[in-house]
Amino acid sequence: MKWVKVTLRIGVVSLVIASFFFLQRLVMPKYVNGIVEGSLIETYYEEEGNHDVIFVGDCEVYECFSPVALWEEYGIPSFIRGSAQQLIWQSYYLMEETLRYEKPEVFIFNVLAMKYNEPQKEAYNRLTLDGMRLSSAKIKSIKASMMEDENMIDYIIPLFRYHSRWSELSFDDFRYFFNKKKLFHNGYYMRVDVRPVTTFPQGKKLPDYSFGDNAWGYLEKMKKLCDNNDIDLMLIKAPAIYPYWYDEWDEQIREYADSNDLIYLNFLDLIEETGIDYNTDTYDTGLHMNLSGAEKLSRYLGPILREKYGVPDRRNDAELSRIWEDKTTFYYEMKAAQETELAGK
Amino acid sequence: MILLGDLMLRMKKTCVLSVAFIMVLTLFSGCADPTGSLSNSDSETSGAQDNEGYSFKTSGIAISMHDDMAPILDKLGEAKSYFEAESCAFPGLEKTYTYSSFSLYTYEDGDIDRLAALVILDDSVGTAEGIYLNDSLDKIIAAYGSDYTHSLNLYSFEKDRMKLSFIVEDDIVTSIEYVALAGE
Repeated sequence: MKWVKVTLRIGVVSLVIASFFFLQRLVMPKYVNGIVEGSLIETYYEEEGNHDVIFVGDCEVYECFSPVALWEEYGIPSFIRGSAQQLIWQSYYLMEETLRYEKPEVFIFNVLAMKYNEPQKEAYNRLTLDGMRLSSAKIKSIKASMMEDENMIDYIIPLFRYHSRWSELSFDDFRYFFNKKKLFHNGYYMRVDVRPVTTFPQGKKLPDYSFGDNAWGYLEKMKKLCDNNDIDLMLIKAPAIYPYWYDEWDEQIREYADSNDLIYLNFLDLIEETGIDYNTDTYDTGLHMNLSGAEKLSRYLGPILREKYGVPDRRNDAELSRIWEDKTTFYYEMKAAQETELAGK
Repeated sequence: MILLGDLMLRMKKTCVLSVAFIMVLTLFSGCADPTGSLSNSDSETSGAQDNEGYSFKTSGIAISMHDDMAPILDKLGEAKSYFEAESCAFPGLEKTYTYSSFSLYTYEDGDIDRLAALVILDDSVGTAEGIYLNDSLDKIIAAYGSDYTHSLNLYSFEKDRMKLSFIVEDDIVTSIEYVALAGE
């Protein structure tokens, strides 16, 4: 009788746990329509590693660089672990977590996030943290990101946070319960539409232009993490005209890069070299690049990755080429679909 | 068989109780936001209320933080320049209207655009209490009193759901900004 009792107990416990995870999965936002950016972080786990370059940062990375262009033109396999308003500690812990899966040649960090020295908003935190797999890096990232009135448990068990979505469930919550539709290209969010820059907003005067200690601390941690793992760290600032990037901020990053022997590329200063045209290369009046802009930036970046960091051309690797062939096909299919949609408007 | 039946019954009860426990735990924990919504207004300002904070006066109208922008724009006429920024993570736009001497920044509250901030750009306009760019710190204190918060060169006066801030450099006001604050 004992084995029956034990078996039943295991069965009951399993059922309870399964129900719990079923409910959690059901009520969590799926981010497949509307705010699709919430799906970005989790797409990394579908990968098989083998990326020589990993980008981390906010929307200025996932909307400004094209991994497919880097592969097609330079044979550089890359992935963008970007998310909306990704804070620097979130980028750091994503880097730390990435090392559990693979060891890239170069990490590229977009420095706009240096402007934030403390957590900003739960809703933005969610777009990065909910997509991460449970790990010590995720727990540390949650701890660093939580607002004062938040609880760690709500991040670790999102059901506690999202339970009231029960009444808002839509067809998509069931449709994408197991698998979501593919939306991104190695973390790149494609947009082919064009909306030129018409005005250039000036930055408000600030009482203090110094980056905060917390932000500096995480930049230093990034540097150490890279040094300890024999990985190069590259700093970039995408050519987005808003939010405003102050000269005083730029100077601080330049000084840090110089004193730590890091390459820092401010693409706002490289408009001529990259060929960025704000009349044709942005889809939202200069906040982000469209596909044309992202491909131009990637074409500029490729030779630097090759020459300065020795990132090899991996197009001779048959297995990698097969993987990227599929990615490239999907890339051009989406491009064609978006162009057709635009033409029909 | 009786024993087995009894055991099955107990297991069934345990199972039902456990599921019920999870449901209750789920329903009553983390209820900070009962809507479950992660809208952009979570920790932003929300809703029109009587605004008692400091107002900015121009063209015969008083402009307060959290005000509905539509009537303000009607009265002010076409802005010298307009810029809009779509959030990376939420539907909706943050809009900036720049007039010759000040800029207005908006936030979305449902279908209504509300005033999030106002920045004075030159000394042709000032606050309703008579402070202009290039004035001194003493003049600010004379106008607003000494109940301010001070950090670096920033002097802020908080009133209701807004904050009026002055940047003072070498005893000269170099920035005047009204900002809407979150909260009821």
